[in-house]
Amino acid sequence: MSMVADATGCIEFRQAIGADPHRRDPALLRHRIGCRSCNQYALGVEQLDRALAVALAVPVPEGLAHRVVLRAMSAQRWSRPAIATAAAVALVALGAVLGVLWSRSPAAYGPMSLGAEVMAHAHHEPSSWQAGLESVKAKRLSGVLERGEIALLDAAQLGPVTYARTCRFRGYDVPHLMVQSVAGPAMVLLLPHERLTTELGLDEDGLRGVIVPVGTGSIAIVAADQAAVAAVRQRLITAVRVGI
Amino acid sequence: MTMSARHHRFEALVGALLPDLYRYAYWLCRNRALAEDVVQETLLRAWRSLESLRDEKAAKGWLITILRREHARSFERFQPELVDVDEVVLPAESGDAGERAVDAAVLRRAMAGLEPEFREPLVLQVLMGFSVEEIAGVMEINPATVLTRLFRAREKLSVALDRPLQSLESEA
Repeated sequence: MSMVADATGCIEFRQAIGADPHRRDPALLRHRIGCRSCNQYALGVEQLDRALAVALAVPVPEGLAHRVVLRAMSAQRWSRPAIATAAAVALVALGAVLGVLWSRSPAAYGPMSLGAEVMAHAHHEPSSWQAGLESVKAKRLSGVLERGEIALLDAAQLGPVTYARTCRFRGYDVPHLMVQSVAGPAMVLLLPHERLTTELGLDEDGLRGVIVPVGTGSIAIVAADQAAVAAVRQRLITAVRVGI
Repeated sequence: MTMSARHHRFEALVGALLPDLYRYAYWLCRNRALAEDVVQETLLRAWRSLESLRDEKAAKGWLITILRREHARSFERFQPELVDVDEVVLPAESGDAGERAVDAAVLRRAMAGLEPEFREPLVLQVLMGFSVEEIAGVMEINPATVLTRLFRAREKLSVALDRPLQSLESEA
């Protein structure tokens, strides 16, 4: 180290000992033996270090080892912040996965599911599919929508409605419509009481459909052709208000 | 390595070093609760990366390096309100208590008053027994800088304690 010259002087000696009192270089020892003042300085530094060692040894909290070592080993691969982050991510991911599964798997059409009941309704009311092309009267349509708590915002946008009836569905009276499109007819159930957080796809026995969250409720659309579903969906969303 | 062997190795490694790790953390942040948190996070990281420690003789430096990083992280996350070392009630040391205990309290206050760049190498040297080269490695500065800081730290302490280590001018 540059602090110790071969012919160690007092300044070099004190800088060296002041930096590291335990240094035992021969040159330092020779200087210390020959210089009473520097020996006093070295003794002062050693005394300071002894007091410092005592002062720095602050009391360790009782049970610290037990607490922190056990906690570290039991935490395995996860720290507390990591666990919190992972838990939040896992919850979001779980929600997303369940949403996807709900919308795509056969379980979505289980006996008690909304999708299953929509498809069952489509199958069990064949008269609606055979209604012909004549539009229902405006008064009838408005009556059905009113009973179902649906507001008609734009009748022109809705397009031709060839079937309109109030049906009991999952405990509520809901409008059941048959709406015509260039791609064919589509069955529509307006469901102000069925709140969804994500869109639900339907595909069963040659019928395809979708349940779309709208306002505080949803709209179910089922058709033989996906193009009919898409066309009617586009019009319905702006033609009616479902729920609040 | 089986889980029980891993546990055993970890306990053996950190058990003896834990008091000094806590004290080092305390002198870094001068706050008991934060020091314990920093030690906790240090051990969590050490446990997770235990396999990366090849030479057990290097455990002390390895843990100190992790602890310094955790301390830096803890300050990135939040700026704690530090308890001044004057307010920390510390029991008197056993043995020749009396005057020595008073000296320790005064010294602690003087240490707490040192700038971190002077306090830390002194703690590493006096408390942890690190060599100048080891301190340089931990603090990522060169050994000459470490020597200068150590010398200046002791000079500053002696001034704060009003106990000059003997000036060259007064010799003659």
